[in-house]
Amino acid sequence: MLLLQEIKKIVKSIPYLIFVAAIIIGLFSQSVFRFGDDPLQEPQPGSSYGFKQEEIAEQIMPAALRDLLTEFSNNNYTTYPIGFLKHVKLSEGEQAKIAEILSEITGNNKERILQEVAGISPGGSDNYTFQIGGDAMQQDGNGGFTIGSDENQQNSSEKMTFAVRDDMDYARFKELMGQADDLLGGGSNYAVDSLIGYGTVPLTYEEAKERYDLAVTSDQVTGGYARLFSDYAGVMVLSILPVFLAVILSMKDRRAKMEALIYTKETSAAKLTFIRYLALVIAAMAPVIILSYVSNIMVWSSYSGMQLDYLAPLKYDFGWLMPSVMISTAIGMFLTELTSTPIAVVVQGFWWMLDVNLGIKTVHSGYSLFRLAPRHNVGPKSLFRTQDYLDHFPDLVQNRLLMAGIALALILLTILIYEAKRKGKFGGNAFFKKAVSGIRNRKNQSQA
Amino acid sequence: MHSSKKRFPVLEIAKINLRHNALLSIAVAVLLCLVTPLLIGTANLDRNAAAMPLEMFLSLIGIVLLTPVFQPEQNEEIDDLVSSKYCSTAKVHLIRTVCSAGIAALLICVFTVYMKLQSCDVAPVLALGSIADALFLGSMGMLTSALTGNTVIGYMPPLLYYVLNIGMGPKLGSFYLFSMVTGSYTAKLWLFAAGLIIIVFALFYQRLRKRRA
Amino acid sequence: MNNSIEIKGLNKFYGKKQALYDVNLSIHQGMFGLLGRNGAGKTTLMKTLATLLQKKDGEIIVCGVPIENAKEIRKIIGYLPQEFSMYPSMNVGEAMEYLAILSGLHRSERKERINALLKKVNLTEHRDKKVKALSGGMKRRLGIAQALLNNPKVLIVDEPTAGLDPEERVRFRNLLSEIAEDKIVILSTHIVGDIEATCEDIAIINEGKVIYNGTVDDLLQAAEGRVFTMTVSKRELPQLKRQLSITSMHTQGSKVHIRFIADTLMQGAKECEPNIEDAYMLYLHSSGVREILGEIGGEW
Repeated sequence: MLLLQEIKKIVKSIPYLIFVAAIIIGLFSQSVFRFGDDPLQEPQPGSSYGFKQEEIAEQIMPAALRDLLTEFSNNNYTTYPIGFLKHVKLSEGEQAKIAEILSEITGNNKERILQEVAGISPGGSDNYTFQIGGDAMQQDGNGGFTIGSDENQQNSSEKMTFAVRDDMDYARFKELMGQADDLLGGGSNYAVDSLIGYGTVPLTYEEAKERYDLAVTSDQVTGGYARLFSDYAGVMVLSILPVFLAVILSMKDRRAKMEALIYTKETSAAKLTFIRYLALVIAAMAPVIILSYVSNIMVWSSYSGMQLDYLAPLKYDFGWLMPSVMISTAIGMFLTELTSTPIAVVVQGFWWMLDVNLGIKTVHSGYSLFRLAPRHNVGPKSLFRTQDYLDHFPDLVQNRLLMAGIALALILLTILIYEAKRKGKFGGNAFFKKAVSGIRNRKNQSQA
Repeated sequence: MHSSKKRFPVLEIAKINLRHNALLSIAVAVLLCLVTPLLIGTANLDRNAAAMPLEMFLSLIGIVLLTPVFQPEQNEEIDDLVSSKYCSTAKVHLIRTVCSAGIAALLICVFTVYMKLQSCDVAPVLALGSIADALFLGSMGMLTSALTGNTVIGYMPPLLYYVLNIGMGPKLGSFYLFSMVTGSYTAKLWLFAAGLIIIVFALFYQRLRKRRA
Repeated sequence: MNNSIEIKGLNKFYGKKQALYDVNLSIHQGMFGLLGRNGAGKTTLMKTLATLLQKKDGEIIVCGVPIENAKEIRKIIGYLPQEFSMYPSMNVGEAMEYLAILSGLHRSERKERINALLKKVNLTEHRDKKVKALSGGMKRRLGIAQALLNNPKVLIVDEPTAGLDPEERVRFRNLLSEIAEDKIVILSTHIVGDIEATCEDIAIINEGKVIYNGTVDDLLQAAEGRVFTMTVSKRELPQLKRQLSITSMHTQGSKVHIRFIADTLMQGAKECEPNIEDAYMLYLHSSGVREILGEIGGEW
């Protein structure tokens, strides 16, 4: 059968060997085969359970203010507009606007702020003090804040003190912070959905227990591990490696000069292309499914007696991972057929790099619509954060369906191109070549 | 032989190869350089932060430029034809390698200067370190391309190594690609040396492969 | 001046498989034909002479230079492979320029040389055309032109006319004959017509062994008295095909005129003048091989 033939072709090739080795090494490096080392702990009353983020105005406002102040005084703001780190330096006019925002929040005079705070040497903390209601605020090692009083700071009255106005309205605060974020070009910690990052609050026993219960009932434990596996597998390997298989297989025909031969064969273009695609996806998914089970099985013994979902890895393999494989393979086939070059590797490479870095900000749970590799990297220590997953599940479904849909659409286009080539209508990458040779001819002519 | 130098006009061979075989990879390398400032901030960075765009982004041009060095002769007919000529194909490969490495180094240096103009605290050592990265990654690609006779397969291992560095970087010790971000530079010496050795090996292997037939 | 190729006891292996067995040939100035089926070992021999493959043992001396001295050999040979191809973005002029550089030509002589060669093969107007846009015949001509860049003493041409239309084939053979006037031209082919038109000396190679080495005249003479024609009915044909070595057939209504090889005269057959095809068949047959007609271009 043709499908079996195509699969054999792929599986026996060197790129496939590298592909499988890459998956194994990549996943191994993330310790996915050692999930058993870290079983879920049922929370006991009276211990600390980690943190969560909540919109607590009293906590967020001073923390955000402090950061803004520090960055303002150095005129060096850290933002992540598309996930990559960026340092922003504002113009005088823009700094003035920030000063205005600071002025409104703290009640201090704008001109004075500009004079005394801006332009101060970086790290110079003793020209102003930062306070919450008279007490200096300090960050402790766990990410929370403690408030202690420092007599020295209270006594120096010539220095400006910065604190959030007592009557500061939180909604207005958010607005102002949003303006600051806009000035910075977006992606700063002051953006409306990022502000919550300042509201770190310890989990209570009840909340921790709730999470644990969800992990046990909804995820049935194995689901959580399978999800973690999928997070790693998706972002590290499956969003990029399949494109190589697709490109190499598509180009093999070219290399063996089989083009003319295949183009005249009886099998319809649609059937051949689709079977190839299917073969690639199956070949790529096979080791993944096996490895997902290896990873998952490692934990089964740690939870004997509990109700485990033994099909969890399979569900995640097909629901979460397969669409990423589908689309990277589809892009590989489509662009190779279109341009007869391995440019798909570059394109997919770029998208993958972008996606990985976009995901850094939302690594805990990132399911936006165009994500190539959704993220949910919370392990057993954080009790899988099942609620987050459930909350975003519709988004995940949407995204995965979209990816699968686009993948199939690309395959359809590939078929059309292949068909056109067979009939001799498509001059390969005629458009491409014309453009390139046009440039070269112009160059030659000017040299002549 | 002095006359043999006249018989292989190195510059002419280099020029023709650049024009006909290397244009696409140079274009991609330049594109990568142009896109990097859009993706990641390249202004006002301190010494360690400035290492990031260089080490993590520009080093990739090594893969783009060095891996396809053997590609034009991976078509058997062309290979037979040029192999029957007086000027050995190994020399042509060497010329291409030197050109590619040179262009990679040049682009990285230019980019470093660009960063300096954007008030980054850069130093020549950052550029050199990134060049070492680029050479190492490129050498992996070259070797794989030579061993498998297929350039596209050649792109896989260096990319994989790159990903591995993101995932478990510091564990790779002296072969960690992104050590400059933490202010450490010794790994670069290892990477540079290894890169050179692998490149030389790849060139020799390619030469022997043909002769052994 | 020593202008010959001496091959003695040449053996060549591809891994465990032996491709050439104890080949002994002496090739002199003019056109030398190497005739054989596909896979007989022609290309292996050609590539070995062109220094692309290494022999296992034996001796090859080209114009006084032993084959081990590859660099010197490449100075005096020109090679046209079976499929001629060049870097896809090059046009005719650029390909010639680059190959000229690789052939070791000085810049001063290049331009003139290239122009002269392109003129010789009639490709001057196509100078700016991309190599891959050339027709099969034009590609072959370009192939010859580049093989002559270094004014070689020996020209090695592998399957020169395969895939060319009749007109191009004739043109090409004439071109080669012209070149052979002062060089050694070795031509490998499975098309008997090529040999017929141009060669004096030939060797027939089959399954890695040379089964004939000598002049065309001698070859024909050896076949004298062994070639016959006969007219048979279509009904008899299938049986005769099994019994006889038929070299060609010609249908006329319900009758078929066949031409075949036999040791003695059969009833109803007439002896006739052997041509090269017949002689070729004879040699293959006597070395124990059944032939399929299509290969030597006979008519069904």
